[in-house]
Parts: sequence; C-alpha cells; structure tokens
Amino acid sequence: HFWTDSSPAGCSHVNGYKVDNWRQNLRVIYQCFVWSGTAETRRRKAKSCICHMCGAHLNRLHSCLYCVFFGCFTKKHIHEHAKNKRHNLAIDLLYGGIYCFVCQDYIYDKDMEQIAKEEQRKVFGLLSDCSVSVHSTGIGEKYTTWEPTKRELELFRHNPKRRKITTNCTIGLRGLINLGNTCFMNCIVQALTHTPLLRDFFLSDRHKCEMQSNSCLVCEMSQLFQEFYSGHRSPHIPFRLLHLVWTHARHLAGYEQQDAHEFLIAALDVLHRHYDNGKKTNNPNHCNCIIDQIFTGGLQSDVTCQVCHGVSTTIDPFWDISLDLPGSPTPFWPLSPGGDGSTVNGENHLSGSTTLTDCLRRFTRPEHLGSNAKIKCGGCHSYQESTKQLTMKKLPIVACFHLKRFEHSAKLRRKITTYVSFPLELDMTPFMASSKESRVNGQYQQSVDVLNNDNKYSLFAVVNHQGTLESGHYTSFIRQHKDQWFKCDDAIITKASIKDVLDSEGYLLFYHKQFLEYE
Amino acid sequence: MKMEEMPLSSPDNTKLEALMHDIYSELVEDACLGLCFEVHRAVKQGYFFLGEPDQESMKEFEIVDQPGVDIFGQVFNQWKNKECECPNCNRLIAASRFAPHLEKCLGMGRNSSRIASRRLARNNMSKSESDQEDNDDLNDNDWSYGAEKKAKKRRSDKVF
Repeated sequence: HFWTDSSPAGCSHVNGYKVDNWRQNLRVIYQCFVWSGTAETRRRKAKSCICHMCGAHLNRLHSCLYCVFFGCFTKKHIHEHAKNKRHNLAIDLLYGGIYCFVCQDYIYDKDMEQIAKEEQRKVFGLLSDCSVSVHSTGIGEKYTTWEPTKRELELFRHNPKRRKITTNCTIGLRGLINLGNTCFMNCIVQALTHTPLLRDFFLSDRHKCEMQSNSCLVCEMSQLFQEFYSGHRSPHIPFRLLHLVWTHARHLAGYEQQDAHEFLIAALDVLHRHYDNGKKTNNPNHCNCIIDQIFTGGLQSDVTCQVCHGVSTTIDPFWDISLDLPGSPTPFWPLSPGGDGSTVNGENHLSGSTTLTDCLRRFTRPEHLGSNAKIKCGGCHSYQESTKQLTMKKLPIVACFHLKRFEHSAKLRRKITTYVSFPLELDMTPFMASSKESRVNGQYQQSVDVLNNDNKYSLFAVVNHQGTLESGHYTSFIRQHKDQWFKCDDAIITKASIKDVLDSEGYLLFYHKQFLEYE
Repeated sequence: MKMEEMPLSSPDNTKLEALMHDIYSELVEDACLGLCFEVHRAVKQGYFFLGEPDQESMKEFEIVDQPGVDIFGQVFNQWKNKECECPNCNRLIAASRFAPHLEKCLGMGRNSSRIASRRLARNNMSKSESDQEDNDDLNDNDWSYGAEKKAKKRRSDKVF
C-alpha cells in the first residue's frame, strides 16, 4: 500500500480555485466568517451570515468560495447556487470544512487546510499577527489533535499490534514487592498511582526536571507511572522510591513499623518540595505544584467570643483530615443533637455503627473551650471564654480522611478497631464554611440542591490495616475504570467487590471530586 | 424567525422557551456534527483504522478473576528470589530484605546507632567478647519483632 503524492483525501476540482490571489481570499473568509476572534468580527458574522435565499442563520450555513453568497446546507440552498453559477466549492462556516459539489463530499486539501489551521491559531492568540487584534476569549486550543504522517501511517499498517486500555484491561495495575515491612509504602503508592489527576499529569509528561542529581522524587514518581502502564505482569520493586523518600525525609526511617498516613504526608511533602526542582519558592503558600493543586485544601477555624460574639477567623492549608473515633480518650458522643445524619450520604447505617459523616460532624462541631482556655478577645480587650469551630473553606480535589485508629498516648499504645462505615459517594456541603449558617443546633438543615455538584466526591482508594499495633499488615483497595475495584496486597492484585471495600475497616479513605471546574 | 424581531421582554414565556429550545438543539447538533467531521476526516485521510482494537493484545491483557491466581493469572507467592542493587552501597540485596539493609546502610534508625556504638566499643574488647557481639549483629538482620524477641531470649540464656 503506497501513497501517491496527491492525497486521496483532496480532489482535483480545487485546481480551478487555486489561482491568482486565492490564498488571501481564503484567509479573509476564515478570519471574518469562520474563526471570528474579535468582538467586531463576531458581530459581523452574526449579522451578515444568513442564507441569501431563506434568511436562516442556522441550518449549516455555507459560504461560496467563488463569490459572496451564503446558503444553508440543510435546505440545499447552497447546492442550488453551486449548480446555477457553476461555483463548485463552498465552506462550512461552523467548522471550516471545504465541500466540493462535484465530488459531493467534504475534501481535505493540504494547502487549504494549512491556511485554515494558521488562521485558527491566530484567533486563539498563538501566532502574532499585527493586522488582527485578538481578544483572548479563553477558549484556547493550544494543542491540536495528533495526526500521523504518511510514513507513520505506513508503519502502523505494517505493525498491527495495539495496546488499548479498555475496562477489562490489566494495564495500569501492578503488584509491588514488600521490601521488608514496607506494605505501608506500597499502599500509598497504589493510592497515588490511581489518583486520576496525578496519573494524567505524569502520563502526559508534564514534569520537566532540572535537578542535577538523580535524586528527584518527582522523576521517580513519573517512572513509577511508566512501570504501572508498561504492561509488565511481574511486581515492581520500589527500592529506589524507598531510598529517595528516606534520604529526603530522614525523620521517617528508624521506626520498625511505619505508619501509612505518616508516609503519605512525608511523600507529598517531598514531592511538593522537589516540584520546583529544589528551588525555594518565595511564598510557600502560593505554590502551584501539582501536589498543591490536587491535595491542598483550606481549613477554617472560627473562634467566637462568648461575651461580645466577635469572631476571629484563620484559614490553614491541609492535605488530609484526621478524624477522632469513638473509643478514643476524648469523648466522641454526645454529637450535636439531631440523631443520625446517615440520610445525608446514604451510608450503611446499621443501628449504632458510626459513619464517616458522624466523624465529620464531630470534627466540624462548635466546641466550647473551657474556662482554662480563655482566648484574648480583640473586641473585649480581655480574656474571655469562647467556642471554636472548624469547617472546610476550600475543598481539595482529592480529600484524604485519616481515621485515627492508632493511639500513642503516654499511658497506652493501642489500636481502635471500631467499625466506621463510609460511603461510595460523599457530599461535603454540610461541612463547608459556607454552610455554617444553615446549622440549627448543629444539625445541618439540608435543602437538597441537586444541581450543585461542587462538593460531591467519589471514593477511589481505601488503605486498611489488619492486626495489632505491634504486628500488622497494610493492604489497599483501589478503583479503576469507574466501577471496578481491586485489592492490592503487596505483590498480589486481585479483583474485589464494592461490598468488600465498604465492609472493610478503613484507615485512610481517598475521595476524588466528581466534577472539576476549569480555572 | 429573525432574531432581531424577537421581543425578549415579552411576558409570553412560551416564545422564550421556544427560542431557548432552538438554541439548545442547535448547540447539540453542532457538537454531533463536529464528531461526524472528525470521523469523516479520519476515514478519508486513512487513519481511522488506528482506533481498532487488536484482538490478540486484548486477550493478552485481559483481567483474570479466578481463585488462587492474581489478575494476571499468576500464582501467588512466586516472587521469592527478587533482588535489587542498593543505590547507596551498590551491593546486590534480596528485595524482601532491602528495607532493613537500607536502614543500616544509610546509618539511620535506632538499630543502626546501637550497632555503630557497639562497634566503637568493640575496638577496646578482647577477641572472644567481640565474637559474641558478632552473633548479635547477625540477629539484627531479621527486622521484625518476632526475631528480636528470639535474640533477646538467647542473650539471657548465655552463661558468662
């Protein structure tokens, strides 16, 4: 199969058009009537682009290439014009495609497409063209779809093997060798490699490293994604990752049994630091690295003076939310009155069992700070008793909830194994700072706003700990392809059911925002 | 109906709704048309076939859901002999014992400082004493609570 020079996608009928100043004429048509980039051209297009026969401005309007005539395609008015005037070429004003009435099909001519592409890019502000003043409309199309060259097409035809990631595909899943009680690290790696935004970031090669040595953790993370998508079946040995994390987070190494949550925070911290290639950003609060974009939320703390009711507000960044459980030294109950809020998130509410929503309600309840903890009130100019309340000011794209199961107080070290049920879908609206006013006696008065999707989250990874404080084992469940779940037990990856996941004890819960807004 | 002629301030909601419906239908149609053009172009330019799945490869990467094997169809626990090269000392270490090795190799952790301080003290010891110390060092290679308890027990059984 050999391609000739004249592309079969084009046609010979354009040769009659390609005379004299045709390039400039075509450019004008694209600038004025197809890719209208300025307010002025848009206005002109809206007013003048109507069918010369029926006055409609919809119906797939086309412009004749040989004269000033607009005709709709649907009602065949442009076809009539083509026949009567023997003008055999027209252009679709919506997408800029060229239609040949002799071939009776849209044709793709290399020269004409080149002009179309250039004019389009000018409109999106990419090429500088002094004669065209361009407003940035924000609908940037900085990237064009990849198209194979003729040579590449040839190669593809001769090499028919393809790797396509479908729903029943193992690509993207891989086991991890336990390097000696490193199951805590393996679980965090599984959660991170299955975080959709993080995966997309690394697979589109967005990290350009400028670090001199081989010690960039972000590069290693990128390499991890390559390993997971390589199609290899044997488990990966994450020894380089362990080495990098321990050399950059020395405080971690040295405990016999490590905590998965601690590892997560340390890993995120090192990734965040390395993102700017080791350069210190001037303002650590305004870092725009991928870690901050995905994981950083804002926690609002409001302290209300009981005397003058003045409120002092601070907002702190967070990467995770640590939640107390019933059975911990500080009393879990009584919650704010209102009984079970299980209908808010549709969790398995076996009577008496704690839900994630319960934990979040407790976390965001107003807490009366006793007479031993008086705050200096700016309004009263004296020390007064106050209440403190935590709420979410800004939700991260990935919300990680840490159930505080491990107690390391001076008196005892133990694990709290209370079952906490957590939902597949979570609505964070009741816990937002903006929802505070809607609380009556601490119970959120929920006016169900079905259309507001901003605060809806989906579970995508669960890290579990089995066993006791002294000897235990971490495993994880991760979600792939929307509704498939897999259990990751170091080197062994097996299919799991949603029931397996929701019945598990739960230590770290990873939720991903369902709907992402453009910035 | 020409757009300029539409009195938008009309209290008649049906006209407004009809207009909204027209615009909405047009937008949906435009989006569908865009997709048609994409496919049309791909077919005409000859690269539409690239999206076709390759049955052989799809079978190769199909998820297995059987008891006793993982999703790749592999039996559990066959990965005992994996090795890796330590980035610090470049020695070849068994993968399942890499973490305790690295802890000592990097000189971190309470085990390492204990060994290091003992080695310093050893330089002032006699040979027989240092032999006993060597045995203890070997026990430190097993980095888990179980083995540590065994080592402690053994030490208390020694007769000096």
